[in-house]
Amino acid sequence: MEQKQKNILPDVDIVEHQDEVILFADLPGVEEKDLDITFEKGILKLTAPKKSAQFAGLEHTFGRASQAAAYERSFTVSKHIDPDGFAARLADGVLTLTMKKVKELQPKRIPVKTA
Amino acid sequence: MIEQFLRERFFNPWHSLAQLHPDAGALWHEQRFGDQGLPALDVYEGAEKVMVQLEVPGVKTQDIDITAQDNTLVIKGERKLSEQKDDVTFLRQERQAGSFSRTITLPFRIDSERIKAKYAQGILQVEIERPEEVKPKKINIKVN
Repeated sequence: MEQKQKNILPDVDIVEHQDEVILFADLPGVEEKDLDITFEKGILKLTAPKKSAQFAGLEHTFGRASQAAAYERSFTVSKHIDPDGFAARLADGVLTLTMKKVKELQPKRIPVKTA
Repeated sequence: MIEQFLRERFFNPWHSLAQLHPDAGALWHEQRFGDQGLPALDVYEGAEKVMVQLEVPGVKTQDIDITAQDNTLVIKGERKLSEQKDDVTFLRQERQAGSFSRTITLPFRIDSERIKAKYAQGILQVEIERPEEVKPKKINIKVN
């Protein structure tokens, strides 16, 4: 019988700064080439297969890693995020996705002139 | 005041679509890093060795401590999340920081010379070789 693939919601932190929003996602075991990030019609989607570890001559006796699974999570992104301002980095099983805010929303300093 | 207004009006529309799924809650708890402060653990066993795998994304190797005494293996560590500071505005905060510890009792005495540990892509792998006396012996049968 074919085993049904399980979807896993990765844990995320989303932090707001003055000119950008940064999303951190836990994706242990995911390689850069397997991580798929798409942004379409205001929906940001993260997907990556969670490969089960295989060790020659060893049998899996405890835990859940043997089951085929995939990380998958979608977010509705505010229209105040610049669609061209995304930058992603994957290190130690953590994705860091930086999203720039649109220029109009970034804080501006208005100089005061003396008369 | 203005900041709060902006945040509520514009920067809170992060709806996780997946959370609308009826099974989302169950999956959630199953996979959390720190429900009981326990990262996901997997064990693989073979005739020659035992492999212990721990999911610890974002943990630095210098913050992981592996000790073996008799037949007990203890993996301790601390996850420090640089973004989790007091002066930061969180739109969502789910990742858990802090210390974790997992203890694994093996059916043989661990020789500290026979342990290897590797960390890659947020996964720690500890390989423990079985001592010679407990390895299954293969007996060749001579046929005359």
